[in-house]
Amino acid sequence: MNKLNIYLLIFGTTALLATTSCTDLDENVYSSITENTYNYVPGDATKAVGAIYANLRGMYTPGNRTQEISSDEIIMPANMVGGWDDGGVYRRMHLHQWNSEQTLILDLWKNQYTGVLLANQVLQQLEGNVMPFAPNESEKRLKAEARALRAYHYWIIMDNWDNAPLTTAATNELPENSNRQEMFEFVISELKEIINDLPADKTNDTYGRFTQWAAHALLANVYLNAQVYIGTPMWEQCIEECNAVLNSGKYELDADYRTPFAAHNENSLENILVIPYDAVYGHGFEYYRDALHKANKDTYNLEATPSGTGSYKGVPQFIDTYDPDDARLDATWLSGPQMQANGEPCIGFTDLSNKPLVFENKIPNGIQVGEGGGLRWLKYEIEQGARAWLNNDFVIFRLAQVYMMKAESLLRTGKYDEAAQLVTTVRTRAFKDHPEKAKVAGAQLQGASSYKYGTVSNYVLAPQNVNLPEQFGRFYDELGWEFAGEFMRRRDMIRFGTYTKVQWLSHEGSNDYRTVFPIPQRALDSNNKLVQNPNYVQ
Amino acid sequence: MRLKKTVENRDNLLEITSQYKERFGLHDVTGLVGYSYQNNIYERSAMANWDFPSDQYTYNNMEAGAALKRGEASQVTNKQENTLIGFFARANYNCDNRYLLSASIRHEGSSKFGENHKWGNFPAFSVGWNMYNESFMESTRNLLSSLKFRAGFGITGTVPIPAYVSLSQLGTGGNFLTADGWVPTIKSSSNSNPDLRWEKKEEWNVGVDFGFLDERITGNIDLYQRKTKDMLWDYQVAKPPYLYDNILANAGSMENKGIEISLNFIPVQTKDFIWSSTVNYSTNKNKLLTLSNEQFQLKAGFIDAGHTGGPIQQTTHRLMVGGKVGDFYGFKVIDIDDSGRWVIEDKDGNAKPILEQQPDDKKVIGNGLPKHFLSWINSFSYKGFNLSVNMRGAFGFDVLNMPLLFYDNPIFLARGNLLSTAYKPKINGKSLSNLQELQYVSYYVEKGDYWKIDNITLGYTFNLNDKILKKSQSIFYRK
Repeated sequence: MNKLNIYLLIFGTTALLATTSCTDLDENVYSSITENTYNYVPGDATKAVGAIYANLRGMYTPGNRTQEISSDEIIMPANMVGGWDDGGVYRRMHLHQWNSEQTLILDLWKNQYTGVLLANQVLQQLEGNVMPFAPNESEKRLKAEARALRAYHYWIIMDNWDNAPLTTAATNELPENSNRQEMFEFVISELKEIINDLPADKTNDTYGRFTQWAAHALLANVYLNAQVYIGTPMWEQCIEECNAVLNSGKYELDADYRTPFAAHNENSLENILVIPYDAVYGHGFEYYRDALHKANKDTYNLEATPSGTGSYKGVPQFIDTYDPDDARLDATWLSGPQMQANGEPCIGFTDLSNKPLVFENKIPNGIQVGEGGGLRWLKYEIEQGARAWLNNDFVIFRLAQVYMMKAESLLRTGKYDEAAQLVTTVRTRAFKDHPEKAKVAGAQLQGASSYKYGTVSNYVLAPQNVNLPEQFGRFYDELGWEFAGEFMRRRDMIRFGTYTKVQWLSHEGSNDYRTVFPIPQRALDSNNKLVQNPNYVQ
Repeated sequence: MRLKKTVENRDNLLEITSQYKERFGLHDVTGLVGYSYQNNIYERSAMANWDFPSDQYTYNNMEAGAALKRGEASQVTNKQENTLIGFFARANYNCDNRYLLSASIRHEGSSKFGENHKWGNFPAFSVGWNMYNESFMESTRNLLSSLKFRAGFGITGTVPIPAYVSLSQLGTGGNFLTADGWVPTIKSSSNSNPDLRWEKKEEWNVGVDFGFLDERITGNIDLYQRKTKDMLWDYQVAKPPYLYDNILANAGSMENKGIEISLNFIPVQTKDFIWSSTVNYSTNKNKLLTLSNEQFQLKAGFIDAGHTGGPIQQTTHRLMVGGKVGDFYGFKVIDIDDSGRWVIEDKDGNAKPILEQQPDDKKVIGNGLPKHFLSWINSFSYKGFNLSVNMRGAFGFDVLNMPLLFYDNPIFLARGNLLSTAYKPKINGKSLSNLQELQYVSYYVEKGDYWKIDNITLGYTFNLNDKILKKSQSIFYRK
């Protein structure tokens, strides 16, 4: 190597090192923003709390897969000729044979904890004052909303899993198990602390967001189930929370039972808290694709095609409990010959191949059914020409539920007639043409359920010789008729002691430990501090 | 619907090296120092629109479609950048073509790693002894034509594929309804890992190269041991506390050991006919040493990977500490019961109906990575003809027979088509009933050993005279 080369080398190296860009490894970010470099602007606080609300839209499907199809109200059987088996995931819910690998349970867990973790993050940001507020933003309100949403998620979590982790800070520490007692106390104390910081008015600004009244409705729900959660009934406290909503004068029962579920149910007078959906801006609500048959595409001139034969069906034994004059029967369940919008009959393609499609309230068993078997849950209005994603907002709390929670608390504290008056109020719109049928008496509500429990094989019922629920069977039926498909049946069955005891279709009963779900295996596998719920395999 | 998309992937490269060469008598020394800079910028933009008034616009009037006005059309742009910088030096020393020494070092940095973990040092050393050139070997030279021993050690680094993993990124969480209409929301868009660092592979190897009979037989044998540390993996993490299911992190280490043998020989060599042959053999053993670090505690010490896909919805593989990469993990079937359902072996080795399956009844039911690879390449040439036949095989491994898994069962007739064997007996002369779901079980894991002819090539080379060749070349050049 000659001297010139050596000089060139030294010169070159020095030149390189002198220009810092030659050793600069900072990342240049273009199409995303990072916490370190982003300057929060007014309005961002609302958008950050908004992320928790937006996550709620993902709750619909895991909600119905856990709360409804594990109950005696709705079933998702495989089609006799094809489809809707999906590895038996729905059947396991019906038979109560889920284990910790059941994905439908994991999906609910993920959705709920996403809400909790987002709330923890937002609260840390709000506490840290990293976000400036716009004149129309209230720091107090946003914090209260984040905490109320977190409390809502923890209610769902304690209700479904009991011993799940209770994390309330934004940290990467692996959490340990908590339990219902701790979560119960947390939910109540959080809500009590922030309730006055929530808005009390019902305006465009509070639609789809937590208000004081939504918080009262949530508290009422928690107290209603206190006996299940902590072993101590709290009927008086439940009544108190219900009264707060009823006396607010903000809500009234819609004259028509269908209004709270209309495509544009933002006009409902009854809904207290909804998850807003939109065909363009707020995707996530497409429940008809589970429930309708693909031939029903032409009934409603749908943009998207329902999945095969559809599968989200009413349990015939449950449908049979309805009074035929109850307007809620037709408002909740789609039955009879299916027609295209042009008046031609819809045609089947599996066992009703080339035959008219008729939905009948008959199912041979809970395992395999024909395409016409079973009425379809169609409570939310499907508009003509509906887009793939629907506009209907999914109801979380509505006034009728507050009436019924109060009625149940009254009933369980011996005030039968007072309870019956509330039930009658709720029933009135369902029996417009038969007002005499709307009225119920306290003594009736104490009567037995008209649900004929027992397993069904080849359409034949093998009656189960039980007297369940032990108490207030008629009131239990009322809950079913009013709230079918609204994510309440599992909780109601547990509170009335029927969830693991009674039989319907192919469900032969299960064990009491199944009143809570197993902690998902994926959550256990990656956290050595977490223990599985009792009786589930670790 | 029309979609227009542009992708630009730009690499800015700079490499400066300087070499040094000197010879002192029997001693040969070469040295090299250098700097390398690799900067990659990736940009993508795409737009879609539909309901056009006329198809004749094709992609040249994208705004004309009605979907854009309805707020349905989509538009995407995306830009990413990453930089890799290296300083390196290497020295080689050769003494009389008998003793060889080499040492090198790379000081390398990638923008993709965490703030304090961007740079890594990667040294390598090797020694060689060309024994053939020793004077005491002279007596063997009528038989031996080359013999060389080698040994080396080196550390190499691996950079993850995605950029920006170490940064806490914000993204949109879908829209949110306010009094002013729907607004986009803000939330963390990934689990960030500020401690992301280099994956390092330490490798030892020793080898020998040899040749006999004037190189008619040549070959080499290599033994290696690799230890991968700070393994980069998209780890599944617990929710809570993590918002997302996975995080790219360095946790875990793996060991690989193996032998590679290559033999080339020319069994026949005459004026017109040559047969030459190559045999390659390799075997590798791997073992997962750890999967956790202080940050990631994998309670059960495993990661599940691979998936059957719908409708079975089971993972197919498990990566376990102490286990091997490629283990199939599922239920072991031992029988079929009266109702036509599988009977599995439970965790204690007892028979259990498949409906009572629990996650801990799963077992290792095979491994998909071959223990042995063998290939044999033969080529023959006779005058202008040449024929080559390549054969290869892999042994000591299992495959999951996916077509059987999905279609060799009468189950629910769920997807229309079945194999004609669906109703045939599966195990102990018993058949499956159709009243059940598909299951991922050991029955479908089969021996995967194979030996095959990969390639046969027959050729003829024309011996063209110079004139024609020149012509054809000139034609070629005019292309």
